[in-house]
Amino acid sequence: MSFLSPAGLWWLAAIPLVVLLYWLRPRRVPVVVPSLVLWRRSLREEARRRPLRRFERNVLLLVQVLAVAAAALSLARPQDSTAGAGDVVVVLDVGLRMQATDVPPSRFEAARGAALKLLAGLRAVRVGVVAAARSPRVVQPLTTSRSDAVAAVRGLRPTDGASDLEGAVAVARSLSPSATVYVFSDRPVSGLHSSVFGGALEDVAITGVVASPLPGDRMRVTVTVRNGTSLARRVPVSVLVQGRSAAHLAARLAPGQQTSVAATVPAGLWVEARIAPQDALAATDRSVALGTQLPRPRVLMVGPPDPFLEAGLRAVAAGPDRQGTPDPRLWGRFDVVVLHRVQAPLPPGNFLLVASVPTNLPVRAVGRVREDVVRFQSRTHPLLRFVDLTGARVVRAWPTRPHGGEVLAEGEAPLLWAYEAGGLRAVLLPFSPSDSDLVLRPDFPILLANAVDWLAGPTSSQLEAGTTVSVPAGGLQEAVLHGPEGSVRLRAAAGRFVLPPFDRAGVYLLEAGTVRRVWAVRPQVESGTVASTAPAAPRQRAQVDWGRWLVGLFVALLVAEWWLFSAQARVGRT
Amino acid sequence: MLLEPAFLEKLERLRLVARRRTRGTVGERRSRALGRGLEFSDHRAYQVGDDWRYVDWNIYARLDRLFVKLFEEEEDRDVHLLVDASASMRFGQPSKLDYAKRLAAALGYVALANGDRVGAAALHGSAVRALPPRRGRTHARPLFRFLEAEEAYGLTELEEAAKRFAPRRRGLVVAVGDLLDPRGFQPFLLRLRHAGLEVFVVHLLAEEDLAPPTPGELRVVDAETGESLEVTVDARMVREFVAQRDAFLESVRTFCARHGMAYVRATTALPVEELVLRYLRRAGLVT
Repeated sequence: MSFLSPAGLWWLAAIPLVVLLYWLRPRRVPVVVPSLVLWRRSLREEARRRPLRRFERNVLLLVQVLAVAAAALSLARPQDSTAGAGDVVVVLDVGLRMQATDVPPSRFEAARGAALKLLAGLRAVRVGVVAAARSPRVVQPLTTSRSDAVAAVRGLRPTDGASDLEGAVAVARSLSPSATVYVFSDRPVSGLHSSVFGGALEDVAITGVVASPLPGDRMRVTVTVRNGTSLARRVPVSVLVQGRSAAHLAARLAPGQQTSVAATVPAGLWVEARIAPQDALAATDRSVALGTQLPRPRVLMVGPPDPFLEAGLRAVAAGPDRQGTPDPRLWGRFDVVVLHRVQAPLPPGNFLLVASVPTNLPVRAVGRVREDVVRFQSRTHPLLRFVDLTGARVVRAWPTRPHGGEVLAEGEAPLLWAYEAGGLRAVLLPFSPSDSDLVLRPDFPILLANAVDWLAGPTSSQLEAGTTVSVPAGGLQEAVLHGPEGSVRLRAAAGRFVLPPFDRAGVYLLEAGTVRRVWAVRPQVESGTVASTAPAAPRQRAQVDWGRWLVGLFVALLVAEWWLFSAQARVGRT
Repeated sequence: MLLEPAFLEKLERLRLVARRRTRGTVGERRSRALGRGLEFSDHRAYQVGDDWRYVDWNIYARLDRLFVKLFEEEEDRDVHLLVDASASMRFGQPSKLDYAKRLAAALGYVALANGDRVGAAALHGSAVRALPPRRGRTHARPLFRFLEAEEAYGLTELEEAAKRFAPRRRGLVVAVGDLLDPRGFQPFLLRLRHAGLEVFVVHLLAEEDLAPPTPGELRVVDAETGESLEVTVDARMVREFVAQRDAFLESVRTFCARHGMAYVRATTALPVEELVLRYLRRAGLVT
């Protein structure tokens, strides 16, 4: 047990004063009697029958002392002291709904203002700040610096993603299990100090945008709109391809209805749909989707040509470019480098090794080439998704002995091996495709597609706002991320580019050398936006507010004292 | 004036009754003892030592045997009026002491009117102010003056007072008081009894003595000693006090009955005339 306001304990000094006043007050009426004989006998008998009677006389004093003690303790604001007593964690909802302007200037600004006000008046020992985004983030670990905490709160901005309020509370608890958690959101969290800004929200939103390819460099864009208001609406919809207006549509929607409208537009890398503002939440009035002209991974093939391999790669990637003599300086420009029958040390990057056993990987070729058959394979690794290599026959395979990585398929010896470490990813096939019947199976192009995807990562994808992404850096050290809020320069760390969270809906483009990756990030529109729903109570133990209990005890003691006093007065009158 | 003339007239017709024989001096009261009185009572056979003057010679002439004549001996009797005059007797309306003084005066007047020797004593704790027994109606005035002069003061120390009260002759003692002695009333009454006195107890109480206490936070002060007790009087305490009071009154009554003492309890609310003429007559003290 500790106290947030220890100065309140000074009020305990009032207890001796209460006792003094109790003893000093003229409370007994003097009555002169002829003799004390009968009184002494009565008292003796009373004492024998009711031994606690002497304490009953002082019960009023006891109640008064307890009341003063309860009041003093409540003023001292006692806290549970199991650990880290006095810690305060501020959880601020940064979800999309917090952008609503039904609470001026917005739900988020009002919540942030309240959080800053709380921090200004807080006497906690340590303060932490957690942002309740799609993935909760600790934006300020527990600190004794109030200015750091205030700066962390000031630095927060609402996102276009959902908010995981319960997850954020769990994160806050993980900072300090006994911390007092203050939640600022548009939803209450039972069992915690919740400040709620806004309530039910009426919203007309774009809930989906899909682009489907059409012949002749065109595509069909379907926009889904939901009317989450109580009025019928006619909603104008604009379609833009890579920022250029391409079509104008209109959707008629009854209250609560969701409908789709479609338009045929020129093909492009990405498409955006917009509706005219209809409500207090503008963030759901636009959404994006990937178009049909998407970038493909760039592949460089090094070594002697193999027609089966080249044909397979052409189906799943751009190129491939060819390099007869190995030149590692150029390899970093490509998403994936395929080494065919090349024995050379590998720099950081993404490599498909075909009949190649590099010298700087934890794998060695042992013995002579021989015939083998795939007997076992992994069923869980993404490289072998939708692929069945069992029974594939290889007439000339290099027997290898790996000392790390993961063997994904094997017969007498490993026949498919994957490795990832230190900015280097590699997939090893210890045989040429032309030396096996694998090329005759439909699994071969799928295996190549999986290998390119796993090595380079997807070059394009659609995500919801708030998602965090990292991509393999390959041989690259620097990249630039272009997003709706400008460009950010990134540096590779441990062989990967870790991108900042996609908090804002829009199109994000990563450029590194000749490599390009694109993400269409759409706002995470919650289903059933009309009614605000309270989340289930968190499983964490609610903070015990002893001060509140003590105030209750103080009031109860006052009532008890009044009752006792009245009872005694009642006996006096009868 | 302690007693009104009309009341004194009524008292003229009363007389005190002793329930047992006493050895007083020869007086106007005819005693049951046979002796040298004037009124013949009986004969009995002569015994060695009998006075020859009482031999009935006529019987000797007829029967040739010696018989002596017996006469009812006439004697007077001492009546002692003991009045508790401690500070506790100040209570009551009228006060217990005033009431006791009037009662003692009435009984003394009856006794004097019947030729008894009447003495009085006021008990102020261990101190005793006494008026020696005297006979004759002329003694009534000094007796009344003595009683009138008494005031309530001192502690209640009945046993100590009984030690100092030492009558030279046996007789009837009428003890009037509240008997509220912290050391108990029993030793006091037993001493009187063992002194050969016929004891008549008039247990005199004021309404304040009998009324249950007022509930509340009280500081009860002893009128005699000044001692005080802090008492919280609630309903249970009231019940306990009433029980103790009733037990005390009952203990006095049973004690007197066990030791052959006449007992009458009275409160100051009862007029003295009614007490004497009705209740003491019913109790057999006066006829």
